[in-house]
Amino acid sequence: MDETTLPLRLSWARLHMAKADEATFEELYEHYLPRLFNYMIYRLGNRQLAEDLTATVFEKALTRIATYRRDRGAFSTWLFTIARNVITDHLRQQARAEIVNLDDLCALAAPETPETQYLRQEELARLYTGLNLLAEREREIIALKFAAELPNTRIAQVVGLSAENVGVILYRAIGKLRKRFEEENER
Amino acid sequence: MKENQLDMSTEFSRNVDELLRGARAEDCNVLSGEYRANLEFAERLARTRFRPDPSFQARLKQSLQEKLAPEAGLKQRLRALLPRQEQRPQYAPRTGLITARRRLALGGLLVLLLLGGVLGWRAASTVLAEGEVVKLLRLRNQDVVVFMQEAYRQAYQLHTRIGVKLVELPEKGVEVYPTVAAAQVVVAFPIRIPAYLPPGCRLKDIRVLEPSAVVADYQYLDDRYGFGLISILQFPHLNTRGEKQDLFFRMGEGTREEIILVLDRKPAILATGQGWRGVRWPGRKGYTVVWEGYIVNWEDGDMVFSLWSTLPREETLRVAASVR
Repeated sequence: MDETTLPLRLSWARLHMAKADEATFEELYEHYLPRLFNYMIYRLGNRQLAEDLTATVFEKALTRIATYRRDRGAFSTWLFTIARNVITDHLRQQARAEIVNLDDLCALAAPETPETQYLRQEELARLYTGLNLLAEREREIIALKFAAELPNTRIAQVVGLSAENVGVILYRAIGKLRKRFEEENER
Repeated sequence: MKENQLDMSTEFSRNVDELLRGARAEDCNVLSGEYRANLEFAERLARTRFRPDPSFQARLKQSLQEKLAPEAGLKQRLRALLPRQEQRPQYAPRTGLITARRRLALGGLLVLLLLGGVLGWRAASTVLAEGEVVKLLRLRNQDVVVFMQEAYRQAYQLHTRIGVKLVELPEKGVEVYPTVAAAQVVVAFPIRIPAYLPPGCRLKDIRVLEPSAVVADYQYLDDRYGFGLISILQFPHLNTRGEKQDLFFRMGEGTREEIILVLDRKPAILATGQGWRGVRWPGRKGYTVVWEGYIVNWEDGDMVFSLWSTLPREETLRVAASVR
């Protein structure tokens, strides 16, 4: 290969890398946006806030993408660690808890038949009330499991516990939430 | 007891993961009623997904893609992948290495031209040596000399203040057509042209390197160079023989490269630089050629484009983005 062509050959390889990056962005966005938004709703219960903080997380992730190291953990772990920190920062800045808008939650839930939708609205209200009564860590782990859909090993990395501990806390938290849910049902 | 609880919670998590994947939880008859109740509740939770509003989804995506534009995040991130090149392009010093014989010849021709009182575009040509054509142009109040050495398929522009700009042409198989339509007859793919060209810019000619690669040359009047050039090389990834093509305009050492986004945010390479090199002419001393400009390389579908220009950066990118 003659040396004058070498730089552009390398550049061409980098161009393909950039293309791959853009494709990767699309793929990551489509894959993680619903989960991230779902996680925000689980944690905050407010649609507008969930949208704002979801946007903040993606922006932070993009600007810090160079700091992500694949050998240090999965991308989802990295992304949800950012999400968790964003929520923590937000809650720290808020003197009061965010107002939960149950109508918002119902509007966001996956559409079903009118009958089941009505039941779901009732369920959502009770679910959110129940979640609010859980300890912060329990609520966090439920959100990371059911909204972010992370396996216990990754939740463990995000919250700084062992995977076994995460499993135990999850099981107990679901038990507590179910009982409160059922108690509300009986009223 | 502790071990049982650990087993149960591990089993529970595994079942929840299955539910989240859309599968059903495993039969858990052997486990306690509480476990089953928890799992049923988990199933209801797993079905509860809050969906982002589609308009929010689209809005955020657009906003993030804008942030991926050259001026923001992606550029910095991609820059980190590129080797650092601090050297910035500078205007070339005036070249002073033209041989005395050539100076005399050119000087004579220039004097003739100036004496003629030519204003605006005016061209004359003469044969200085076998196979060598020299064109003289007087442009506004600047004198421009264009050399074309057929034997080496190299064209040179000389500006009296700036220096010499080099455009390399392939050595073989070049046919020149005056219009896109004329070239299109012998080219196997639709020739794309820029929808935008700077004011005063016009097609000079189309060079067909072979049926699967063409270069469209555009000329314009430029205060800085007197006479500027935009060359757009285009070719399919594979030539008519199915072989991968690898033709690009080149720059010399010290070229600064960056990845930018043009054409609906498709990535492209922008090379900025000035080139200099010694050129050997048969039986003559070599002399240094200096030029400065931009090269943009990008792909669009099966086509590859390499645009060379002496326009300012933004104008170069605007022309590149308008090639359709």
